Amino acid sequence: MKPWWPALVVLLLCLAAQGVGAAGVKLALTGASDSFRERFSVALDEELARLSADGISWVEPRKADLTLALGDSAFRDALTLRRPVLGLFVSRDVALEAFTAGCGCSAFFSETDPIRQLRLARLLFPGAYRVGVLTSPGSAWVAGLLGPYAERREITLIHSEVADSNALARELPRLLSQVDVLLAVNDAQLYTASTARLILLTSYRQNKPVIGPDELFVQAGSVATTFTSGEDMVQQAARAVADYEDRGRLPPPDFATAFSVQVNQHVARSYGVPVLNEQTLRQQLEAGE
Amino acid sequence: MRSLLLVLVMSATSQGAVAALDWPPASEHETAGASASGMPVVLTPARLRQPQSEVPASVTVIDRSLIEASGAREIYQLFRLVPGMAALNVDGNVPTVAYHPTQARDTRRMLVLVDGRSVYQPGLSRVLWNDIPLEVEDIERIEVTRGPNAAAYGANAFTGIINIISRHPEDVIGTTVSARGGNNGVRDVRLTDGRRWSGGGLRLTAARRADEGYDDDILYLGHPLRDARDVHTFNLRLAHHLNLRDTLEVFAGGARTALQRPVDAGLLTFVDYTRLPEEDNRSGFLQLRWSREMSDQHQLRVQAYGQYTRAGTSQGVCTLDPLTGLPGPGGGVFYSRELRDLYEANNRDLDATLAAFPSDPAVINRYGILAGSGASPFCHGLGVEVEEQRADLEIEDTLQLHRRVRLVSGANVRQDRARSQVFLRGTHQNNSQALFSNLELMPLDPVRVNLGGFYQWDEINGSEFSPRAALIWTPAPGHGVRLVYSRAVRSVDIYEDQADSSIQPERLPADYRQNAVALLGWAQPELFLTQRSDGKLKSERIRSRELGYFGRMGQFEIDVRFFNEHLTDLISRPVNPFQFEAGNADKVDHRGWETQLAWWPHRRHLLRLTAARVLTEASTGFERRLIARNSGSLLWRYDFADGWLFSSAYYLAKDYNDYRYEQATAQLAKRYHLGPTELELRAMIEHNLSGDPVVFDENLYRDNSRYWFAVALNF
Repeated sequence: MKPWWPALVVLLLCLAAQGVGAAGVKLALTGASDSFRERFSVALDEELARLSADGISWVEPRKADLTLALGDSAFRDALTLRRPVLGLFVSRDVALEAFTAGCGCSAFFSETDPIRQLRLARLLFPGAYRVGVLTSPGSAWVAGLLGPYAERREITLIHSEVADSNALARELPRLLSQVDVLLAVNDAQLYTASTARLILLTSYRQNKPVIGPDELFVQAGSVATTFTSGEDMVQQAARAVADYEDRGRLPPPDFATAFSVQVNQHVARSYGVPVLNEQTLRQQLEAGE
Repeated sequence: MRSLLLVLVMSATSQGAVAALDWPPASEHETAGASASGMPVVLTPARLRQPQSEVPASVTVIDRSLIEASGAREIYQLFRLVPGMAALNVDGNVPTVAYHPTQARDTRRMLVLVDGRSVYQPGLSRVLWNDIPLEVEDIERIEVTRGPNAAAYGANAFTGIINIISRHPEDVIGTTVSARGGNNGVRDVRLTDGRRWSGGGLRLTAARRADEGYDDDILYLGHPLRDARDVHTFNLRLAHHLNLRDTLEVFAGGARTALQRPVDAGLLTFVDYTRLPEEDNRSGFLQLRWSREMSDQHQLRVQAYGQYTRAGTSQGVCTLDPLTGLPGPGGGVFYSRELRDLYEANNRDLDATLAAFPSDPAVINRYGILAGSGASPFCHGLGVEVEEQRADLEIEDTLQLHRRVRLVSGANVRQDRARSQVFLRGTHQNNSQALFSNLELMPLDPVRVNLGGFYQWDEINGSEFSPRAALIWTPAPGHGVRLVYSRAVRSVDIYEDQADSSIQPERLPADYRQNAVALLGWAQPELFLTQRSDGKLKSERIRSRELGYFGRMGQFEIDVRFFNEHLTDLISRPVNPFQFEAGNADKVDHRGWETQLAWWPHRRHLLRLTAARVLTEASTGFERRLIARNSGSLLWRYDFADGWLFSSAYYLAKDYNDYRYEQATAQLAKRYHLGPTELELRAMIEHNLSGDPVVFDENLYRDNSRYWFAVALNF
């Protein structure tokens, strides 16, 4: 005789999900500053209204059906309440650690999707077949993620791992001499305001463009990046909440699919980049996803 | 006005809205240690280079990838990758590199810069490629401007300019020792050390290069052809960032070059060699550069350098007795005062002087004194030495006046000095001053206008102005169609202006030294031949018109140039101590097209093609020796496995002095990484496909294939 209780669990979950849908979703927003939360919630309300997800109400985290947590710290705090949590701008490592530990949670990462960054690099530099990735041990997962994709596209991915920013200075020139373009990754240890000068000047001297890791680096002299802005995350969160309202489920942790593109026009022009329009680039990247 | 205000308000509002949801919010970002305000703008508009599609000239860039693929052992070999350029050893072991070359030993119509320092020698207008203290492995990239560029670089950027940029010290890591050996006597060693500190870095290289030149055992004018070479170089580059805006750089280097030289055809009429010619050159330089970023839109650079070159050739000869044709005291007559007087009386016409020799009583009397003196044969040393010095100070200011306007301007003062007893009978100098400015305008998005000029004054040439006007249409980013008009001059050098040759015998036997007046008629005997410039030569001129296109499309990059170059007032005839036909009588016209194409068909392959067709009309055959009507190159780079590289190249020029130049190369290299240590093994072969000599009959290798093996260890 087959055990009967798994079917009962499924039935109860379905009922619970319908219950969420019927009574609307009580949301809480935590993390960041008061003013940022205020603006974020207003924008989210507008977006949810646009998606016709009307049964939303804002409550305290303890009473929420779903807590939206901005940033790592708020995400960790929200998990202690043992209620469903959707992390926004949460580090991939933090989110996956919680998820694999069996939390009732999900998250959209603060990091940019490396594959999208690689696709951006190829859009801007179609002749760039050799792509360099320099990581610390903490961000080495990027190379692992890019490897199979690069192999399928016949892109040569050259990965170097360094322990810290001191080792970066030694390894960067060596790596640059072997690649056509450098993919900078979200790594608070390596790609910081204090290393930007070293990275960007070294790469520019060797005529090797840098893609990523974020919009601040683009302002500093990186050619371009994709990134998830606050507005993009509002869209991303609204879609997830609306989905949660309908089906009672959160998507698995992942990179945000809503994104923007930023191009440093001066630097891109200096490298003779053929396509400069950010909207066009975003559409081309979206079309390929 | 109201609409403008509305736009501004809307713009400010929308920026505010975007800023409202910037992530991370400013306060959190700062706690993470990377605040938005703390991120420096590193690649400022003032620092950035123009994209190649917008440069008002045809440019060939040879980067490290191409340098590596070429397998070049010496710098000059890299220029075979430039369309329309000749790069070969014309005079045994002395390279000639010239764009749209004309004379066979044409090294004076093109400017060569190494890290912004001119290595164009001021005394005798030439570039001593052997003496440049820089190894191929220390070059980051080379930018070759094809066509006059005097508007940006001043006089002597005549047919083109080569701009060599060495590797930045912060890009050279660890210590590298390398060795290379092969047939043709190739024996090279190199030590490079790179050091970094928090505010900068240092690169230092010491190297030796040696080979046997053209090594076929042929006789040239009855003597073995000797053209072996042994070059020692030292190069240092230091960069230190004084703060975020100021950088100080120091460059220093030197070379010692020992060259075997062939016997001199002119001298052989009068002498037997007792010691074959050897050239011993020494050079050194020190250069300082201070760069300051005044703002994101404004950059200032001040550079000063001093350099010194001493080139000396020595040989031993016995001057032949004109009657017996053998060594003897009668040979001293060629160094007598009486023969000099006869030469002057015949208006320095060598043939007329020799014809009058037997009937001139004073000369015959002198010959009789010498022949009957019982002195030893007239055997002595002959030395040719030239010292050249330059001190140069330049200030350059780059200002982004507006998104659509950029101005590069500056000033330069320079002192050139040359000392040579043989060529100048002493020391002469030339002071010069210059002002230059280049304005880049973008009146409409697809249109660039470039207006530039270089005003220069110097004591020899007076004032000259070299202008350039270019119109560039960029139908799409990455594509540029350019229309360029430019003019340039090649300045008269110190020798051409001040030539006063005096060839004095060295290490004469004691009987001549002690009785010079009695035996030779004067206390400081000289060869009767002498040449003196009347100081009336004018600068050579070029006027160039070109239509060009540069485009980058996916895996393709292409550049095409159609040109019409008109060279006038050329000083084409020999101007040496034996023959001095100085004049501005000649002219050359070049027209034709050339192209370079790079294609990356696959991640492991690069194919690169260059081709040039140059139709030349010249008023004298001297100016047609080295021009090839059709020339080109083909290069394939194949990174076929991890750490493995294969490359092959083919070079063709039809023809240099009626000889077909056709070379093919193949190279195989492998890099091994053993932790932080890198080992590189490399094998290279170069084959002369045509079997023809290079330019001249005597330039033949014993074996049509040259090969070498190299090993380099970096740790």
